[in-house]
Amino acid sequence: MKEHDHDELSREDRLIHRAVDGSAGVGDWAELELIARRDAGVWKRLALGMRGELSLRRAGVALEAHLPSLPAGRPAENKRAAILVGALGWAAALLISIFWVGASGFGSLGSPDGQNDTSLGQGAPPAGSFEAATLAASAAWGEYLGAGTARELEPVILSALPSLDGTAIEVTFLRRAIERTTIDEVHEIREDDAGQLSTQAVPAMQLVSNDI
Amino acid sequence: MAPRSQIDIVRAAVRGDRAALETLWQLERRRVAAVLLAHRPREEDLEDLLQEVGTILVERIGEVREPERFRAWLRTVALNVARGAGRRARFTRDHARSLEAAAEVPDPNAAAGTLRVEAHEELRQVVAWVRGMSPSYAEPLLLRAVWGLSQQEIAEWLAIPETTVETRLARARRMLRERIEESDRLRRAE
Repeated sequence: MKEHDHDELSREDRLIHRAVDGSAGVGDWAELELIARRDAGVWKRLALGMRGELSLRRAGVALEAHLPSLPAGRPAENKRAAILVGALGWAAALLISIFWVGASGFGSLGSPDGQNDTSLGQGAPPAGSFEAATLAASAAWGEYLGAGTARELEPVILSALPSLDGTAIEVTFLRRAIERTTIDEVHEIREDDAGQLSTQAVPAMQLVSNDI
Repeated sequence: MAPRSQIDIVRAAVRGDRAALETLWQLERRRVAAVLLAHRPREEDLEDLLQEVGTILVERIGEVREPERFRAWLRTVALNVARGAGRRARFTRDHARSLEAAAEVPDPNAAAGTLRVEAHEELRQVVAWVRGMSPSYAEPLLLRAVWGLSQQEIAEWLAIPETTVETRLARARRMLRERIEESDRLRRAE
């Protein structure tokens, strides 16, 4: 198709455009009539413009039926932490983190002696709610730490946003725990020149690092 | 600048409000369709690409830090989807639900018989001509004539002056009527 990137747009082109567009004023129509006195072909060109315009408008009506609805899915859950930080700043996010950790008792929860169990873990939670699931998970976590084989590190806040009803804050966090146990032997995996893998027991006294 | 109410909707959607996101999609999908129609390869199915943009919207709405610039972000997403489709260069013609298929929808204003068939054929042809234009002309024309956006809205959407929009619309409409005139001449010569 011929394009007119560098063509001067004539006054007639602009007036026809406005007439077709529905934005022509009284002055524009008067100007068109003046042009038509010299060249009646302007009415034909206007009619052609109207034809194209009507076709496009009808196409819009037809296309409307084919506009899909939004795909299913909860929007952008994985970006919530970033939004929170963006909205409140890192300091605010940190404050929320500290407050939440303090309020939940995680600061002392899970000490090796298991004496500081969280109150969240006490009692049977009501069933069938997010809160119930949270309490149940906290209770199980408290029992696990109370056994004395693991020590919890501070949880990592992944996101904290208003709940859907706006009455609470929904926090997503990562729980971390360090465990200690005793095993009989450690095996080292070796690869020979042919690429064959084999394992070999390593005497305990030969271990030079505990970063296993 | 987007209207205040729309910014509130964007904010709610960014916070994870699914209903707000649905509303946003209803408001914006026509603009997205115009971008895709103007920039996608002819062979690509419009509905598929709209779905692709919708999926990205659901997955990445949380990345919108400035609700005031949501439309610019959405247009960039749509442009990337259209260009990505071009790179994929899939030459499928399985779906006939693109804008060219608009002629298949009955026109209540058209008379029955030959006249109706010709009208539908012209509808299909006109849309094809618009899509054959440079996207810088096709997109504003589709936004104006197909979806009824004002020149001011188009200027904001494209981030260009309103006077430039009017010039592009005027040129696009001139190209279109020249094609119709040429087509009429050829038809009479047959």
